[in-house]
Amino acid sequence: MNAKLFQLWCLMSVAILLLCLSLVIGFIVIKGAPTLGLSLYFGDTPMLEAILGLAPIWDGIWPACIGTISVVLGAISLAIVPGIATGIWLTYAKASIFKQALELSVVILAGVPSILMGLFGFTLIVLLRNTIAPSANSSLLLSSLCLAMLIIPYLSVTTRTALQALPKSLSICASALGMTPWQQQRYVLLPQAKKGIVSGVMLSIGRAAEDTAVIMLTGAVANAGLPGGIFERYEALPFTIFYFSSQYQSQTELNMAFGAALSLLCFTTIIFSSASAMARR
Amino acid sequence: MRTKLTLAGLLACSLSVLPTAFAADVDVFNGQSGTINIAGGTAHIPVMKQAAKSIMKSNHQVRVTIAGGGSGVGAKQVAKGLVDIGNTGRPLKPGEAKHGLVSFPFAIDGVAIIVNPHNPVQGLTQKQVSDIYAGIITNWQQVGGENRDINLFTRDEASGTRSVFVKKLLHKSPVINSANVVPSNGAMKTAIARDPGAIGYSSVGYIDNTVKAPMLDKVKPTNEACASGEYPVVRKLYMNTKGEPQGLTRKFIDYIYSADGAKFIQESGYIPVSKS
Repeated sequence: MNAKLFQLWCLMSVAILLLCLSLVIGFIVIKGAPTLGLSLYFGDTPMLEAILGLAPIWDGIWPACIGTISVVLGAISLAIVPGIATGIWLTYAKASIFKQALELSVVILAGVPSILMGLFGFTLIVLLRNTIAPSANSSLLLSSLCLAMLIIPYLSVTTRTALQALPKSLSICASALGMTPWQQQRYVLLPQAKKGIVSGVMLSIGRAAEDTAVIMLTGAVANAGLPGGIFERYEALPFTIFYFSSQYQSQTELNMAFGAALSLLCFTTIIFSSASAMARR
Repeated sequence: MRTKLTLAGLLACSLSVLPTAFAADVDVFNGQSGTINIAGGTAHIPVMKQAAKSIMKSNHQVRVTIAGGGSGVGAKQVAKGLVDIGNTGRPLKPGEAKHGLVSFPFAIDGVAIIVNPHNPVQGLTQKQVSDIYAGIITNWQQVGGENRDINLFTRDEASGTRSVFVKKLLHKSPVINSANVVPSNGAMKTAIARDPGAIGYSSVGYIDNTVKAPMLDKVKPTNEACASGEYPVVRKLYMNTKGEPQGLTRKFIDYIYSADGAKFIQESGYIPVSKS
């Protein structure tokens, strides 16, 4: 009897979860879908000129889309090597005080709220300006750097989990064949764990793409046009949503927020579903 | 034949003169390149955006980035040197000015009480408004309206609109804590338009048919009344720079004071101020 009740309770929880999820997604789709169209992305600029960067775009979210992609690419290229390397080292290093400290740091870093990471970036710039680099300013690079710090723990934890999930026999076998530890990594273990690592990378991309708190303090602005370089401020989808939904001055701007929300939702859905498809394959 | 030639010659001459004779204000940015970063008051954004649009359309080498945040944020960021121009919807406070900031007033804006369009109240007095915001008057019936509770809406602390409202209309009498706080002029308008018992305030420039602005002490809040001084709750919108502006920033500020700038200011619902 008790087991049945518990099962029912679990089922109900799932149902409530699904209901909430469909309410949220349904709301965004209903509000956002009517705004979808060329003018949402490019305003009154002709599409071809806009995409080629020949004409500036106004009242469209295309610059924000490009800004998001740039800042995410920046973050992932800064984070991928240290993140994965930390994961590998944590899996194979012998137990030591340093390893314990490193494990603890990764856990702490994973738990840092993103607004703190944003504040860190902001403080860093103020510090740099007052000391060695008076012309330093909030920019795409700073946002990428702070986002990278946000996703490094994700990368190292997923890498570590993927490597630990490999059967012990693999490395024993490789050792028996006379492979050095480095050769084992290079030719056997990493290729075997590739799926898990790649899906970790995809998840971190999604995480970086949707974060607002970090970028709002480190360089995202309401209006800038296409990103002008890594030392310039830029527009980004999550910030566009935040900004236009709270500071909108007209109905068009509010609609743009819904359109941007729907676009971001699609973007992250694609990334997350390809990550899970890759993990399943 | 001869007259035709002369005419053609004249036409050619006048055409060659045309570009210089009709040089647009935005031409001062020709050959310039760089970035101007702007942050601060939300009421300024429409003006800044139109100026930026016009500049960036004529010259792709100049980038203008615009962020909001409110007057407080604008003053703080320009003082720290994080932006080139920090906008405020009020004069700088002494604590802000001590960082060597220079102010450029460029527009006059009125702040008006707004209510739901279905609200029958046609006019209020300053006393009634401050009593409403102090929580002394709580029902529309007490000021000649329907029997309905009054829902108060106000802006956050960083808002320049709030500071002029409290200073010039409430005469610094307090706003009751239970008032709902909204983050921008746009949000204020939506909130008022949806709530038949609501009262709030916004820039005169933002008032349209979704909300109603009752008369204040029998004066209708219009741009004309604000310009003539007949309507008392007005403020200036300022651009602030750290020290005297140089280069592109200087050109941008001059552009706001040009005929183009005046047009953008009027289109955004404000009254242009000439450079002092």
